Amino acid sequence: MSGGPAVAGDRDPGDGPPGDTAPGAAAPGDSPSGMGTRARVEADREVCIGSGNCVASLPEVFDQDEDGLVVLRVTSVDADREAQLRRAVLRCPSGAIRLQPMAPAGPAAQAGPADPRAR
Amino acid sequence: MTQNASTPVEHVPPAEAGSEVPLHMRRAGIDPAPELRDLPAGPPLPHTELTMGLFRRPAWLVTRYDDVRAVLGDATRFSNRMLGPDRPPAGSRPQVPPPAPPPGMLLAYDPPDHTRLRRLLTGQFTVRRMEQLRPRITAIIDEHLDGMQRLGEQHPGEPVDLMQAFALPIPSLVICELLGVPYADRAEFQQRSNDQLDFSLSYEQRAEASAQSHAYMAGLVQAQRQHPGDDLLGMLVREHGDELDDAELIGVAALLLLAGHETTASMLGLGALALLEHPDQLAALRDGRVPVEDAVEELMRYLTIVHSGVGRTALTDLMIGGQEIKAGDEVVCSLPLANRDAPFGSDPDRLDLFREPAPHLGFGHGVHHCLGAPLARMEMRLAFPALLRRFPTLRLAVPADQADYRTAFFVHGLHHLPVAW
Repeated sequence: MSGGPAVAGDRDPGDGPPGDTAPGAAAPGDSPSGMGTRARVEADREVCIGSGNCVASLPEVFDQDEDGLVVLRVTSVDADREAQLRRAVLRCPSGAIRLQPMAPAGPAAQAGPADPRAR
Repeated sequence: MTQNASTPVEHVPPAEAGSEVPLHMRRAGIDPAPELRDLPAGPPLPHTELTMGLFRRPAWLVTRYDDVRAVLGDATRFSNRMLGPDRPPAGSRPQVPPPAPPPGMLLAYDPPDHTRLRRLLTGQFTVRRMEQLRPRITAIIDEHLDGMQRLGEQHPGEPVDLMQAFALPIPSLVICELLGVPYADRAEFQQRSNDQLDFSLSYEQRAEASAQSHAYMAGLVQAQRQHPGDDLLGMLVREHGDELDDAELIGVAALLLLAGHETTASMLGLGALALLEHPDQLAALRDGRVPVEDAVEELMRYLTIVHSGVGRTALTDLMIGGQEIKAGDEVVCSLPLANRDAPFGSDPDRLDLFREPAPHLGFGHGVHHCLGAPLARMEMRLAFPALLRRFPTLRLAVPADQADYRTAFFVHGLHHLPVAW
């Protein structure tokens, strides 16, 4: 690790996008993406520890299999849900879920059954 | 490996067991004590003392939200293995990597052993499994509220101890049924749990309570090996009986029993006290004007009953919060301070059930995040509203500043909470 102060962003990989560290991430300006864009959700079941925090946060997006590991119900969400999703990402203790910005929604970006290993 | 040349924090004198409460465990009522709250966050980082083990050892104290997340989220560079009585003498540097943990003591495991053992258990604590428990937990809560009401009618004018009537028995019965532990044995295991977590007792006394707890659980595990039940222990025997030896099974079961009732009991007791001190917010929760899910998360943040969790040992030289940490140094994370850090807004010391639910660290962070969090959430989401609706005129029977707080406990809480209605 670098010699500088270890603060936000200087930690375990997958703990959220850079700068996405404050729990008050729902502040104005939190969702820069405009209308018509969607955000892609990713989940890493190798990293997941089954805390259930994501299901407690957003049950319409996250589920657990019978072993408690994360399963995605959808692979993308509307941009207006992005703030909620960012909080869910921050609440994940293991860094198993991530949010990636996406290009404006096309027909292929419809929410649907997800591959739980979607990466 | 022992290096005496440079102890982690040389200017901190070695502490004697039984002396004052370590800095990170000090409270003023519910709040972190002033000397803790007013610490400069550093660098340099402040110091505290680790209490796990035979003697106290100096440790760095991490207090900022981001730094605490960085430490707890990094199981690669920090080890959870704890030093025990047969470890190096006071003043010497801990071994790196630290020795193997006691079997089944998940909190002292590192990956990949931790991952293997935890994954045998996570399926038992899914949100869906907890939903299946909802009717039974509701019934248990109602039974205890009935009992509390009868107690009040039998002794009119006398206060009722909310800890004994409500906060302690509900999670105890829930975890007993979940695990497959006879509830009739509660007086004994509650005392042993209490003794294991009370750092005003000597190490020998705590170790004795732990040994008794393991001996008790060994009997239950033997019985389950013969006739596995429908409970969690029975499931572990049936489905993973070949992967887990008796020592690991006993250790896991003892930990789940301890963690399953002490923590939730503390939350229910302190949570009730905090709500009674904030009547407007109590009314909002009782009347459904604030979602109970949000209220529980804010109570978790505001109360942060776990002072620090398990200390971490740095496995390599690294930097935290601008502080150089050497391999072998031990680090304690203050969860109450992290949960009142700047990210929680300008008024983090205030209970505000209407606060935007934020990612607090009340259940910890990283791979050791509370395994039973979904169960604890379910119990709290059901118990608080049920209590407030059954007794709309509930009030403290003692002044709030005379509440009987535990001191020097691994988990903050109350001995007794006299209430009336």
